[in-house]
Amino acid sequence: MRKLFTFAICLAALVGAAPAGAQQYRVIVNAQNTTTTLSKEDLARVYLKKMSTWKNGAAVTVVDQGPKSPVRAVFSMAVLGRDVPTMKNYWQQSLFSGRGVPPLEQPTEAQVVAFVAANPGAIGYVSGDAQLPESVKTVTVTQ
Amino acid sequence: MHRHNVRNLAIAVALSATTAGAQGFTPQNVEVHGFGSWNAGATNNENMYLGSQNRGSSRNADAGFTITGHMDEKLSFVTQVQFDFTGQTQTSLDYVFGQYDFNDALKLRAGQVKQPFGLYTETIDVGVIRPFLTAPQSVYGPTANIAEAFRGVGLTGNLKLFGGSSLDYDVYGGGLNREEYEVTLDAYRVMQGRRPWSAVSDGYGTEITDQVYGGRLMINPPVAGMRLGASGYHGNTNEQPIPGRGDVQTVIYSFEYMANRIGFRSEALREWESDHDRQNGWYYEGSYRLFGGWQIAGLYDRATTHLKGKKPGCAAPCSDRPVLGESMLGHKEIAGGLNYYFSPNFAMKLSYHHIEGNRFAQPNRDDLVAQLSAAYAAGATTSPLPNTTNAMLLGAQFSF
Repeated sequence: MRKLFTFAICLAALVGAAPAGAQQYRVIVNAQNTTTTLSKEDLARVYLKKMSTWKNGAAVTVVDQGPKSPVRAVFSMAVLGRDVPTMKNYWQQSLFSGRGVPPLEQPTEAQVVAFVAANPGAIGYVSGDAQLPESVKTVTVTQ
Repeated sequence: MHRHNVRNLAIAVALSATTAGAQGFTPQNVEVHGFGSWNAGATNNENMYLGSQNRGSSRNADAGFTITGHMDEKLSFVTQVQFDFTGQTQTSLDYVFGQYDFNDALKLRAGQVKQPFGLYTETIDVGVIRPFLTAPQSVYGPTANIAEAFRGVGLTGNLKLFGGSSLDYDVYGGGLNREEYEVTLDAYRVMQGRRPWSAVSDGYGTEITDQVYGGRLMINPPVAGMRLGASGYHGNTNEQPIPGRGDVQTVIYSFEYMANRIGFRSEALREWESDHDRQNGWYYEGSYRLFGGWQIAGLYDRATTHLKGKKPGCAAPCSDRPVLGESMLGHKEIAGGLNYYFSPNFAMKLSYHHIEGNRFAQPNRDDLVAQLSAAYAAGATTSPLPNTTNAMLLGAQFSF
């Protein structure tokens, strides 16, 4: 069993590396949010709902793009290290084990922006060239 | 898991409705999700396996609903009701518990709570998230290794560790019911020279287990989709229909890697019961997503059971032909599957299973007893049960 685990860990390390998705997406929060930077690790924890509050204690409201969105595919691989179908499976496990519900999905990028603009604790992501209103701001994602 | 009548559904709905009314639920904070499964199957002999029979069977179907109500950011309630359409329709109340989130690292759960044990116990009814129609039988079959829920209180949470890793933990205490298809009891009788047809049950026994304490630790290393850890519990069991108190302890080691096209899970379990048996189970389960919605899957599954009455020198009366019951203690399975996912929420699955042993593949209860009785009376020195079984299963599973 120990050999198997070692082999599996090595295999996963070889095939599981996520390609970089830099500049292909931007992470956005409400303009009232004081957060300006997030590490990629914390961003992943937010999107896996393992980190549910901002540093000031306010609740995080996570919003995802629709399942067929190209920017979601990029974000999912770059930040979560897994493709969208795998994340769907992950959330079904989480949902039916009573440990968390998946992020709210918004079907269009404009609706993601509007949702974040309307909710002070919200966080979302958009494509790199998306036009943003003053009611939302971009967060820098560090490694 | 106790099977109740439809009254439970009414109770669950009434509970939800009462709670909703008291706290002013709105559609935004109540979520309803569901799942379902149907499968048909056939075997190449009189042994049945996972509901499949020699001439084919398509009577296996079940469905369920999970209702989650979020009272506020910290307090939520979860209820799951399941309907089983195999034979007579039955309804069971799988879970009903409340959860209070102090923070991400500390959450309290109380009620009839999903048992955090291994990889599949909490989602054992939701087939669409695994590559085969059922979870591996060595660990999740009718072996009394797991209980779907515990009654009591528990703590759970996620702790951020160093280097991008984190730890999911659970601790709990209370009681639980473990169900077992009592083929080991039959084997025990045969090996001790007792007649198996003196059994008083229809084959299923419930082990009511109290004074339970247990937990689970799962590490999420900085490799996306990987987790590994261990779970276990200790309790005091009152076995039915043969009453008898005894300690039981079970531990399982788990590994999972689910990333993109590759899925791999492996677990190794050991259970000890102070009064008689000891069970081991382990499996390797892999899957690979091809193109479109196609997926292939493979499984190696193994279970062994050791009874105190098995060896010469056991407590009297001992059988002079213990070999008659030995095949009912072992299970070795190799399976391959081909799945098509119309979406992550709906899949059709076809699988072929080659099984050695009668721990989980055996004739129906009446035929089992009749064959063993006839063999015993005839002075047979080998088991009358077909030791090798081939089964083909086809099914559909969904969730929403």
